[in-house]
Amino acid sequence: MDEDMLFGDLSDFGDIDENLLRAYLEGDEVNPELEELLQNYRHDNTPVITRVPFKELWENCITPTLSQTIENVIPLLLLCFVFKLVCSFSKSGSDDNDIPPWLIHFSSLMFGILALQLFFQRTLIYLLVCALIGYFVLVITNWRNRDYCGIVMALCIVGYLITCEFVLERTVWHSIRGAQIILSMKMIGIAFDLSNGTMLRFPNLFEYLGYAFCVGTVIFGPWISFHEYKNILNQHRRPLSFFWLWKVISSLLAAMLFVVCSTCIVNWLILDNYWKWFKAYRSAQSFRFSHYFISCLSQVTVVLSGLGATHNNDDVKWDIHVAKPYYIELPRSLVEVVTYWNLPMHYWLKTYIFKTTKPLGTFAAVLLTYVASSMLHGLNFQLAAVLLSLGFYTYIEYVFRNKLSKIFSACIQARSCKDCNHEYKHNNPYVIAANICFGILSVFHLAYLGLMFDSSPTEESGYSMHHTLDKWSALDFSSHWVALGTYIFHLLI
Amino acid sequence: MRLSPLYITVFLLFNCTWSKKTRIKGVQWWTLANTGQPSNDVYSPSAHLYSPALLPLTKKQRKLTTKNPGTILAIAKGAKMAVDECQHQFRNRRWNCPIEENGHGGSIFGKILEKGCRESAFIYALTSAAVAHSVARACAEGSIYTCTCDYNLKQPDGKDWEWGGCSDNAKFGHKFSRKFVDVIEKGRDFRYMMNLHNNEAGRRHVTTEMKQECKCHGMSGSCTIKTCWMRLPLFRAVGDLLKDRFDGASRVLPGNAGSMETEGNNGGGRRKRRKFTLLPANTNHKPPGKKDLVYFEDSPNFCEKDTSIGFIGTKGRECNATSLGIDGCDLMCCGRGYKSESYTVRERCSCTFHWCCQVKCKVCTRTKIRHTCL
Repeated sequence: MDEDMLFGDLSDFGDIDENLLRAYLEGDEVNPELEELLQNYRHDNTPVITRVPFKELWENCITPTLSQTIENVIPLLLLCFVFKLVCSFSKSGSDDNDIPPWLIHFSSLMFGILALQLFFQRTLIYLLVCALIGYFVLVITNWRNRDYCGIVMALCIVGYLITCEFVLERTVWHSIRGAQIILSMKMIGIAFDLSNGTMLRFPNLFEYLGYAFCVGTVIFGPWISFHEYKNILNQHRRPLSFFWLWKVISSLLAAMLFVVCSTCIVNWLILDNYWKWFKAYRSAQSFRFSHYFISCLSQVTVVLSGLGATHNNDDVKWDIHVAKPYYIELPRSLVEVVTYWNLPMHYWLKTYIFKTTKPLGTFAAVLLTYVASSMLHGLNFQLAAVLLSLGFYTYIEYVFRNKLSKIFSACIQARSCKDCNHEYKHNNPYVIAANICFGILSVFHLAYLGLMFDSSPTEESGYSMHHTLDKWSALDFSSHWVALGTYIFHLLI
Repeated sequence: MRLSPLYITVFLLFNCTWSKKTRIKGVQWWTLANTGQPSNDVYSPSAHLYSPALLPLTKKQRKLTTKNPGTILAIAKGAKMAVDECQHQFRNRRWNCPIEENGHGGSIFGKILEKGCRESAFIYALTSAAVAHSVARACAEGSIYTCTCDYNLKQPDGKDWEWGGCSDNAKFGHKFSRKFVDVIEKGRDFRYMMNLHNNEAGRRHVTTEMKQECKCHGMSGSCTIKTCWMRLPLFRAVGDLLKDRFDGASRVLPGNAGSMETEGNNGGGRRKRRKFTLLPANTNHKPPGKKDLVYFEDSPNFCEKDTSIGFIGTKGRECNATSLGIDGCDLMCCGRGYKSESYTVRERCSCTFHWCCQVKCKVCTRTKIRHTCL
């Protein structure tokens, strides 16, 4: 089969009688200019934008998306489940002659590497190298001075990320970046735990690597603490139960729903010829749904491998939530959006960055938190721009709404207030109206910020600065102006 | 050496007698559009949809369809689609794509095809596009066994999440249509060049409208998982595009610049490249693009009954009295005037919604006016 079939020129018809054609056309001199002109057949496409019927969407988008997703996720889920079974065998009773803990940690590492191999093939070596360097740093700092463990680790990670950014091919780096973020968070978390004394015993190499490459969190996250990870040794306390299965299945179904919405439905509902703000909202929403998909999938993997539960005496509650779509799609404020976007990451940032930098002042701490967050994401202009904008927006929103709520004595702060002594409570119609207005403002900001994650061809290798600024200038940087306006207004009142 | 006028005349004369037979035989597959309609006709294709030997196909076409089981239904569907689309696109024009129901022995589009005019250009492009579209669709649905739809294909270099889906569908449809439709164009005259060009133009509209779209999923916009899918255009969209091309079709003359080009000796065998040249009749115009429709004869005005093209004229056609366009009575009736008659219709009106969940309507009688050409 020749590949030229689709767009080859007219001359490759198979069934033309050459001699006849020659007899017909023979005897004319070739005019090179004319030849060239004929070569340049017009290539024009007039786009016709219509909504395809749902059946067609089902056939051409939903089915392939679902089948591709399931096909590629199933092996990972199997690994997670088998890992949980392996862990369950370790301490089925309280026998003393069960499998030694180091073997469990080692199997965690092995399962994790298997999962990485499934998704990234040989690229997983960069993650391994990073983890080993991290352990080396831990050992050294622990030996010299435990207090600087966290800071040194953070700096080393940032250095490693920047090196990777420049050394690795963009597409490769872009594909492992997600896993790298999770890994960095785990390593920095351990280091700070050691330096501020939360963790007293120094983890051995098996524990450390088992934690870093735990199969339930290594690909999609979420971040779990080292303390939670150690529950793999207590799997007899978390038996297979209905609630466990329900959590897995419901999260998986939600993930599938979100991936279909993100890839197919959103683009189907809002067509290309709509108003630019609708299109911005569409891109942003598609990005958000994609994020919920990953969040739900990470919930599935972590729960399936027996982690992410809380104990209430003998009750096990599988209550891990990575993202809460409801609070993001219908937001009260950007502050809430940022919180519910990725709850484990929010907790991590709060515990390790915000609390560490708190002595420098709240504003500085908030700013540093966002800086840290964008450093974690690598040297990506787009992400940095979005995160820093979010940092300023949330700060402005927070102080502005705080001031307003004091002036009007109403519950219109960025976070819903519990047992506050405002005169107008949250069920007052004016308060509701005000909160809805602030919510709409948040949706507007979110559409503007999320707009450039638009699955354009550069998506695979990361978006460029040019792309970001292009997209924003198409909307006249309006959201930034609005935020600035809000801040000036806040200063005036 | 230039072709002498005498030679051309002889050539064309020879062709007219020679090619008519083949063409009329060749395009018989269009009658597959009638499958599924109740018919007592023993020649009706629906009777022998599953016995390829009896189908209105040429030998080569028959061979192709037996080699690719499942395609014959797709072709029948495509033919039906083409007829419907043609009638939709031309519903407001004088020539409204009439179909000869008892067209066995000839083409169902009638004798209009014996003219090299815009209308026949459109028919050729549309039918060929319809086959490509319908076969590609059938491929995706999995009803054709020979078009492989490998969802597992991965890049050998270890870069996963490459598109491994049914990207071949469109290619298969295109290729199949080319083999199936173009095989009948065995004539030796200029018209077959035109038909081939128009067939290809039609298919090209299908394949270029087909788009692959991908999306990345991963933490914070990274690309851990990538999903892709192909989007086949609606056939209505293809019909619309082709109608645009119909309006802007170029009139062409046999080119005088085309020739055989011999490429270098690679590996012993001399590969010959054939060059088509369809030059615009008006030298100020651009040469026709690959997606443009071409014709070389002016269309008849389609006003009066014309047996040579098998068109019954616009007498009795409904028209729009207020429109100034081609569907308006002035143009549609070619100035012969029109008669207006009023008629009554009973339709549902003033509907109200009752909680929950009923819609109640009254039946109103309305008077409407219908204009028909004299």
